[in-house]
Amino acid sequence: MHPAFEDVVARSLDDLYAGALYLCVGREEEAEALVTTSLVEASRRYRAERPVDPVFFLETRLVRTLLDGGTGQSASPGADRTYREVTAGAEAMEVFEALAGLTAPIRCTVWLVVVRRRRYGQVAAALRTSREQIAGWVREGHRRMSRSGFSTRLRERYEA
Amino acid sequence: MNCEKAREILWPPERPKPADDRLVAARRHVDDCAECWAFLKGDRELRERLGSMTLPPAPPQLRERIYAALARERASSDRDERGAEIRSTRESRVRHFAAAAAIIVFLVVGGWLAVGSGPSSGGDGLAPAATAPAGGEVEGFVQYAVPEERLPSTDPLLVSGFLVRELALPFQPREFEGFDLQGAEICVKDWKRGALLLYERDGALLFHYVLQVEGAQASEPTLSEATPEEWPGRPGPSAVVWSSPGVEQALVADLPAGELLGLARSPVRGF
Repeated sequence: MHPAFEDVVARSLDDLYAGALYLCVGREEEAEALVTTSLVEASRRYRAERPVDPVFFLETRLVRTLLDGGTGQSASPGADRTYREVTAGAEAMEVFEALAGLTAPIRCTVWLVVVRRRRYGQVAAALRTSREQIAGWVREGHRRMSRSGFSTRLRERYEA
Repeated sequence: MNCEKAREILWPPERPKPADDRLVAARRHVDDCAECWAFLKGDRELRERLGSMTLPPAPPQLRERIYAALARERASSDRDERGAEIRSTRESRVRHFAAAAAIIVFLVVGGWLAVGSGPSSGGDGLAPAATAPAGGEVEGFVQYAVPEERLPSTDPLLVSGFLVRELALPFQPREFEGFDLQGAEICVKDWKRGALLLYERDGALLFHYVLQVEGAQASEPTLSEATPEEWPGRPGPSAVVWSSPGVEQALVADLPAGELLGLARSPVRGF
């Protein structure tokens, strides 16, 4: 039986919201708007498309909403500072600052590949590009994040 | 083996894979390839760092806004579907009327007059014979669903809002003569969430189950064997199941079967 859309949303909402925070580099208001817009759009398509992997379907709608310019395209992390000061702390802010140095497609790729562990072929379909492009964006994401202070401290922690 | 193939076979590196020749070859490649080794190491570091970052769950206000938006979306799409259904029914009636008119003209012209030659069509004032089976999902739901959330309230508006918020289900609690609404409960079976509306009359309880089932067709109330698993004194009370478009429903109560069937068949009235 195909799961009801609302049930898939109920199970996935926390992960989607976390994903939206990555994609919007910690800006809570934009993350909330991104999740809401993408889910309403997804609900219109869900019954017709009957996706085999409903969670990946929602992840795809999230990145497509961002990339299609709907919401969450600002460049600087956590402008309102609410998230930084109240919820996440300085450590998470370092991650968001590093993510802010990436273009939106590379941020989407890093989230889907590195965090969600999606395969390159899936991510290429979601982002409507080639596997080779995804491989390139993954390398670029690694390279740019390894240059950031976040990664230097990470390496120090590993080596310690 | 080249770098791309080796990474594809090993991806994602933390998940177990069958130890076949391809995997052995890919591992051997990575052992000898500084670039692949660095790539996988970088991936592991990033994954552990990003994955271990504690992010908050979706705020309750966001959940409510999303469920309200989804409920509006569903209600709007249901209205569109109902509109299409009504248009289709009207067109179908026009076609049937034209066909019937053509037959009558044919019969009159041909000199045929059939008088009382067929059996009576019944006419007991009840709904059509209750033989169409309602969907089976609500029966399983009645028997095995477990409670999740509860709203004790006699206010139909509050209960209706609760259903929209929790299930994105625009559903008005129905009035059953002599029974008072007591509240609603969200139940779950196999990740599927539905509602249980509770009614009471002089200490006797009436349970109205409501479950969204995609593609459910309208069907008349029929008696069923469905009984909540934990119901004392099983085989238990009477149960009646039926469907409206997209929603399967059941009534369960310790009442004579005929009375329960009568309640289910009574005209639908909101409070």
